[in-house]
Amino acid sequence: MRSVTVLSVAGGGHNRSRAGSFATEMIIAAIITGTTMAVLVPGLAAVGQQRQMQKFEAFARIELNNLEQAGVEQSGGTWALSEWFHRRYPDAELTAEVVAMDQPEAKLPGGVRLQISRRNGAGQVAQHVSLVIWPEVTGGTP
Amino acid sequence: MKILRYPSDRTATEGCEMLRRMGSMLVSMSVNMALIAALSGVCGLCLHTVLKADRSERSTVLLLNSLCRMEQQLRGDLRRAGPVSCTESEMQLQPGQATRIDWSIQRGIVSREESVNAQVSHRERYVFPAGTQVRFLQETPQRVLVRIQEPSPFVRYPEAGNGGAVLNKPEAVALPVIPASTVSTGVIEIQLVVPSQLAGVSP
Repeated sequence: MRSVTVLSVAGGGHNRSRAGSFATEMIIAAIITGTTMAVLVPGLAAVGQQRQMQKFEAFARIELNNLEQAGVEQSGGTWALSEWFHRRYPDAELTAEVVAMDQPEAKLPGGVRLQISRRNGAGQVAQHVSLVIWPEVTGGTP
Repeated sequence: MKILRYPSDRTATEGCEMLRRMGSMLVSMSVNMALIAALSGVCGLCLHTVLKADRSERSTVLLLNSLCRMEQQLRGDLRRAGPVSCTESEMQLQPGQATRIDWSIQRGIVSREESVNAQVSHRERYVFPAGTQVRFLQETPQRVLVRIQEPSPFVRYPEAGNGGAVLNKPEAVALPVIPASTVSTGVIEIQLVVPSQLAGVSP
């Protein structure tokens, strides 16, 4: 009797092992792809957010300097954000508060602290950029 | 049990078995190739995204760096200089009898030249990313506005990057027209005010 049973069984076993290796390869490929995405996507999002924060800080500083110049010129007018800044950051808020000198006996006029704040989204830290404007004192000695 | 040593030893049943094996080999190769293609595609996509992010980062850094330096210098000049005469691309300041400061704009490059007795003593350049448009606007004799328009994210500018490398190119290449349907680009304004004690001084 011719027997090919061993060969047949051996072949079937090989096929089964190949099918197992396909599944393994696919799982490994999925793991590699998933890991890459899990690392890359939040990383790139964080880089983009950091860039936006840097831009906000630089532009807010320019806006505060603009306000300082306008304030020096108008001396006593109401403080409001410029149109370009408001258009760019509609959620930004400007606050102005009077600050006093540490030495009240010096009897120097107080300054104004201007602060531009902006929320970066849910769960994010708010950004604040501030500038204190001291009035110019004439006639004194430094 | 028969030991198969040569191809001629195989029977018809064994031939069928071999054909079945060949089919499975084709499937296995196809699956392998698909996996390799998918992984290569993901790698290429990642690389492209990282390079794009890097280019965008460099452009932002160049803009912010030049902007902050230029703002500081402009405010410093306006603080010491009195009268201003300016057009859209040029501005002259005269802080003293013999001193003169010239600001000029040429396709994203802002230049500053300070000369004493008609001899150039300082020269600075502020290079902005390709596609940036800078203009001087004189609102009143004592107030000058510097308007900086950022490049559009929807327009592809020359790969050369900054404005300096596109000086010899036609206007349409260096500053392509932004489609009207796209979102307007960001504008930054630097307000410069001549100090009141200098406002009345004539050149």
